[in-house]
Amino acid sequence: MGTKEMRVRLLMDNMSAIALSKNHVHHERSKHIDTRIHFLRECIEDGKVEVDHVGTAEQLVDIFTKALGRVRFLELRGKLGIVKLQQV
Amino acid sequence: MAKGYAQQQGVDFEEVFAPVARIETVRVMLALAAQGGWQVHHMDVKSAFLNGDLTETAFVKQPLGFTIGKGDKVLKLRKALYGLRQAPRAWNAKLDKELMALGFVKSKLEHTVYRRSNKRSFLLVGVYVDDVIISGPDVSDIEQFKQEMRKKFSMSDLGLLSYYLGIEVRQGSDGITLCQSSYAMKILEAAGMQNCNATATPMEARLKLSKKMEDEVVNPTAYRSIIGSLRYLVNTRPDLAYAVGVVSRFMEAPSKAHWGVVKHILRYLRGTAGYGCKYETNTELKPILLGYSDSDFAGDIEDRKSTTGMVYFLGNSMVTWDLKSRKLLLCRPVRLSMLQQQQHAKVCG
Repeated sequence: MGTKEMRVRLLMDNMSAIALSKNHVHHERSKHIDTRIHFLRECIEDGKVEVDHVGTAEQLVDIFTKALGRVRFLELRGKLGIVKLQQV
Repeated sequence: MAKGYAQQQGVDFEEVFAPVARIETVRVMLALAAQGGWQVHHMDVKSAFLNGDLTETAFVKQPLGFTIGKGDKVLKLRKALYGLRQAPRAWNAKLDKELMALGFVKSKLEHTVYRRSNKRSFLLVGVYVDDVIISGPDVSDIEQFKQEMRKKFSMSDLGLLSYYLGIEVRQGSDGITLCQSSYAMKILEAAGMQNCNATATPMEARLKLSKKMEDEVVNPTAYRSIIGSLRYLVNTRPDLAYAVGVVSRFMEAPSKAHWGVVKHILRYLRGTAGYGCKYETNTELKPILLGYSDSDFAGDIEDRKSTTGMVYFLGNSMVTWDLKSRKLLLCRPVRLSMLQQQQHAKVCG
């Protein structure tokens, strides 16, 4: 709460996106990515956001983007801190 | 009750907006408190809206039984009444003024959170209209603040926060838990599924739904009502978020197949009604934000839109999450990831 601004770490599993966000290389294949990317690069340069890679196995967001099988679902649910609190 | 509907904008009132704490804000406060092992207290202002000072001129007819003279005169209001359009705003302005006078600083990003810190004490206050939640490392500071508030307004002290916006909060030595089990049971009862067989997951793996299912149409009102309830339940049950998000896309014309998916969610809920979020106490861990993001690259079989998901942890407590069907059609996954990052940057901004 306002005492000191902390750097936010953001984890994703797309290496290409991470590379593009960090380097100002201009490549034919990334030409279509419009000006909005510059906003993000600015955030990274200012040290507000730190983008990092996370392996697919550690990717917790899977539970929000796909219908998972039982084993994986239960594993991620636990990692998100959703637990049984009472008997109903 | 004043007749607010008779008021005209620009004549009887100007602005009506009043800020209200978002549920994420409450979760962040609770996560911070849980991590530091702080107590969270709850207070309520009695007849809050009557406290607001009016800046505009408003008149009311004399109420029956309290007439003075012939009753042909009107009363000029100095303070707000329930029913006035500007009452919530006037109350918020009043509370804001009083908290400032008590030495609090308002958060720039969330106008419903106030902080008071000096060498000896640290106090956080969150405001939801007339509900005030208070937290800080020292209980005596909380008690002192309560005394200060009692001097300003007529308050009822609800002690440790235990029930807030339909969410059951439990505070223990190992952390804070949030759950909506009784609300979950209500949903099951409304759907007549309190005795169904439970399933382990809310949705079949890799299930893809389409808008045009050649199937019987079900009652859209009942479908929408259940989805609405489930969406509120997601506040403490993010494990349902994806499944509920998917069925929400078919609210316009739900068919029997879609209803089947909703039933699957309800069966999962039957087995997990007592589940909720847990925020653990861990005083060594620094409350640092950590985000995860991913996308399912054109997962919708109809419009090829992608679903982006994200989740943020504060220390080890999950405080906010979101999933969205992206408006843009994207030909390359990389571009989508860029958009995701941008969205995240905004969140952190």
